[in-house]
Amino acid sequence: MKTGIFICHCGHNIKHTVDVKRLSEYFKKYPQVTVSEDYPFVCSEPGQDMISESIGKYGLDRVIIASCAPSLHGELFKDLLRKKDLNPFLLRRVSIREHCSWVGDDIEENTEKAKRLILSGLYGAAHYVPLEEKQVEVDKSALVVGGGVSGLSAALFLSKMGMQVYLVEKEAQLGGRVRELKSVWPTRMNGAKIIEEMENELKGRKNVEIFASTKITNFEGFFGNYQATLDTPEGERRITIGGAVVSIGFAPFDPVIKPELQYGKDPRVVTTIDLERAGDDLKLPDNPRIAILHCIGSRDEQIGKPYCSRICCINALRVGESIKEKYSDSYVESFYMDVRAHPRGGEEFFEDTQEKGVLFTRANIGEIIPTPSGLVLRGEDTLLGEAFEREFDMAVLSVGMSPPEDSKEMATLFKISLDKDKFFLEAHIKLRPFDTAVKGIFIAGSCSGPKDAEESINHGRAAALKLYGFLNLGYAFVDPFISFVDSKRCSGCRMCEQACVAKAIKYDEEKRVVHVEEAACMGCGLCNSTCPSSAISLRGYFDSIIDDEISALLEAI
Amino acid sequence: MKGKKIKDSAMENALGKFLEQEQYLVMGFEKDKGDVYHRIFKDNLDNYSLMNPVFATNGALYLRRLFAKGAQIVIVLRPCEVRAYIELVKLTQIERRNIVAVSIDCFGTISSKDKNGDVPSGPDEIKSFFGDPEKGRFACKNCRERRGVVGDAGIRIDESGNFWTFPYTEKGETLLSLMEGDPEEAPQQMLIGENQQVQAFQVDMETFSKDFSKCIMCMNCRDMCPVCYCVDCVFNGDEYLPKGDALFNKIFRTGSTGMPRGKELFHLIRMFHVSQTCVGCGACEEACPQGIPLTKYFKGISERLQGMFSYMSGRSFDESIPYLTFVEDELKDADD
Ligand SMILES: Cc1cc2nc3c(=O)[nH]c(=O)nc-3n(C[C@H](O)[C@H](O)[C@H](O)COP(=O)(O)OP(=O)(O)OC[C@H]3O[C@@H](n4cnc5c(N)ncnc54)[C@H](O)[C@@H]3O)c2cc1C
Ligand code: SF4
Ligand code: SF4
Ligand code: SF4
Ligand code: SF4
Ligand code: SF4
Ligand code: SF4
Repeated sequence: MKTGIFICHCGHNIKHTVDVKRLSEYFKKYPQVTVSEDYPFVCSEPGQDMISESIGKYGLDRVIIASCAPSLHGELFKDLLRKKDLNPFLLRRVSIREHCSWVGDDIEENTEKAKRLILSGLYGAAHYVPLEEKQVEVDKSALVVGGGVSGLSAALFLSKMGMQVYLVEKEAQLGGRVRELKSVWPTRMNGAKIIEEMENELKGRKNVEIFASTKITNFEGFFGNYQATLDTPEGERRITIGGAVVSIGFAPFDPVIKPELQYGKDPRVVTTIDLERAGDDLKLPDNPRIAILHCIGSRDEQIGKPYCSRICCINALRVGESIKEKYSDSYVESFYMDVRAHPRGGEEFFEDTQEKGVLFTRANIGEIIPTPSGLVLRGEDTLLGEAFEREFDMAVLSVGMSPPEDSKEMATLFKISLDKDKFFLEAHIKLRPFDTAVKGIFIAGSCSGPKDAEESINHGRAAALKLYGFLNLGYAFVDPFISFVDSKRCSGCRMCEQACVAKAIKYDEEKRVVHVEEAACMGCGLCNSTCPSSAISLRGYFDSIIDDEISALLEAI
Repeated sequence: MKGKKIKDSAMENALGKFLEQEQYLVMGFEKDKGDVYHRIFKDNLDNYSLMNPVFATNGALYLRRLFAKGAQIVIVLRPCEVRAYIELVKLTQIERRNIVAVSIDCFGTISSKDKNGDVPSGPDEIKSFFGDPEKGRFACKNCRERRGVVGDAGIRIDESGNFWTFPYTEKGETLLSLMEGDPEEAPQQMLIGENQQVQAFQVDMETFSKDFSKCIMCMNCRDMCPVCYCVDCVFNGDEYLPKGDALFNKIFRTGSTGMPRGKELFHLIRMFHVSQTCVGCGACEEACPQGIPLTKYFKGISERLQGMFSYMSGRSFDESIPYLTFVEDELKDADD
């Protein structure tokens, strides 16, 4: 084995608190180390040249670069190996910047730690084998689940990019919640109109098939080649798709869960949604007294909804404004916790509403007591610290967004994780906000947490764009980090099959052993740790690698 | 509950019918020259014994991967053996299709190592033999299921010493139909009843290192454990117990190494592997040449762990092994 170790100073960044010279000297004594060098910037061109030259000159078969975190310059260093005809998976990165030099100022301790980490890399790399990046065929088609604004925009985008799109909506009509909105803030366009426009555009397209009143009953397969079974009014239908965007929206909070608010029991208590539906039919007495309650079903730990729904403050403002516009002699009081007028123009709108005469009281409403003459709101003014009781003719509950009804069912079907509030959980909140853990399955819109229509539309397009990027070539590379089964060792107990979220493990009844569908495996390693007899291993992460790396960290040196 | 009272040799006759008419094998016990052992009967039931007061091995062990041959077999075994069979079915190591499993009430057993002279095989003899409850093995004294209530059918003994057969599944009904007599209502109280069930016990881990320091790593415990089912145990490979070059490397790097290596590691990992499926039969301890009290650890820890998931190994075919299922709100009370 001929290993080259290259230790980076990162200018001052590493060298400042790690004795890089001592490190490069130290590793020269190992028989498997052919060259051990330190260099000011290994990522610079001369730095790269130095590594390339060493690979050629000494015929290195392992390269260890001790520098910044492996996520930085990952492809750069891999390419360097590729250019030298060395398999890029024979490279080992060791983080001595984020993990050592940036952690503390003690040069002795940092250097000792760096030594351990590099040794660990050295031991581990000894077990590396060349890995092959495989190319698989993918179907250039997509399933979009849910025909709300997010789903519609995803479907439109994909269709325009030339992909075959199957849009599945469980209701008879497309449009989701936005269809019900009389005036969508901030454009004040009619919701049904917005939907109609999107729908017409979509319906005119040849590569789109829309399934209304349809549910998905089964979903299987792997990235680039999924199969879905649809239960349509015309009977069962099976489709093959490369990937999916799940955009099943949200469910409005049902205030019946809070009996003290009398919703459902007293017709004078209504929600913002009821108002949207009632529209102009709403009849109020002269000089009406209206209470508007913010944050119903939001920011409420007691009922398990600690999050802000983002749209209800704006909705409350819209209700206040429209009542004031229609009934200038009305008394409208809004009870809020904080006014979070999220989207653009929200703050100005808040001020406008105040100018129009809506009163804002920071308060907790404890209960609504119905009397023959009106509704008595009992609560506490949280600015003055005083309890109050006030009578109104009507109370409007600005309801928040709860997870969609089918969230659990869909999460199981598509292997999507749920967050603590039972919304869909993205793979990474900042870096992969549309991805799920399963390759080719994306989430869009309010199913991954409260969003307004604009955000949902953007989210839908972004998810579609990511899916398009995965499928547009008709083929894709799969990471070589996939599991494989040693069939001689496998006892066919099927434990791993249960552990595999990607459903990549298949049992062979005949041979009574399992095998891994390579295209489906996402390299999570769960099956590895489940198999008692270690019959299943992850390429690039063998037990022996991990075992030796750990022992390097522990052994006496 | 309705069952059939077993008169004289009604059970043997029914099993005989399975042998002759249905081309089944029968696995049970044989009494020969004063000893009782497991036996698989093919043509006749010569020397058949319904009960066996001596424990040497767990019969489920012999069924492992037998299903490859599609064996049709009736097993009439002790509850801990049938329970191990049920766990192995869940792990697809045995195919249930052609097997009829019958569990029989168990008075407890003595270790084959303690066997001294003739072994009683009739129920009355066995009962009086176990008159002193301290006589049984540690596993049996702490047995959590001595009733023949698992599998396709069960053989129970009532307080007057009558034997009964109860069907639990369709296959159990078939067995019952091959027996003479009519089903009748059985007495509520059985000789080995609910009150004899014991709770999972607390294990004192302080003596762990001391107890296992005697281990010679012969791995008999693993080989005799019915639920240690692997075709190729991980301890045969280099992963945990390096051999050859890998061992040389280890010694080279670390300076010196004790031999045999990794005793505690072996037992802790094996314990983890069987903790959900261990039926507490004590076959491991029975197999240990060093007299290490394995049951105490394996049974004790496994049963407490299973309790955290409200699971009991081998209680039913339908309950899936907790490691194999994801339940969102589990382990709520596992903090202790
Ligand atoms: C009272 C109220 C007023 C609002 N006002 C505004 C506003 O003025 N401006 C604004 O920007 N936003 C507003 N919103 C927010 C807006 O409604 C959402 O942002 C938007 O609806 C989110 O779109 P979506 O596609 O994510 O979800 P949805 O609109 O909920 O659409 C989801 C779709 O998926 C379908 N579906 C669900 N489950 C399945 C399944 N299993 N299979 C197939 N299909 C399924 C549903 O039937 C639905 O058609 C308001 C919300 C409320 C509650
Ligand atoms: S590593 Fe194993 S568990 Fe993970 S996706 Fe691949 S086969 Fe499934
Ligand atoms: S867990 Fe291991 S032994 Fe069991 S089926 Fe999977 S690979 Fe085979
Ligand atoms: S462990 Fe239980 S079932 Fe097994 S022999 Fe002992 S008492 Fe009988
Ligand atoms: S110790 Fe573990 S790996 Fe070995 S046979 Fe038992 S269950 Fe399998
Ligand atoms: S570990 Fe011991 S007690 Fe448990 S099932 Fe195996 S042999 Fe029986
Ligand atoms: S049977 Fe006893 S000596 Fe042998 S490995 Fe097991 S515990 Fe150790």
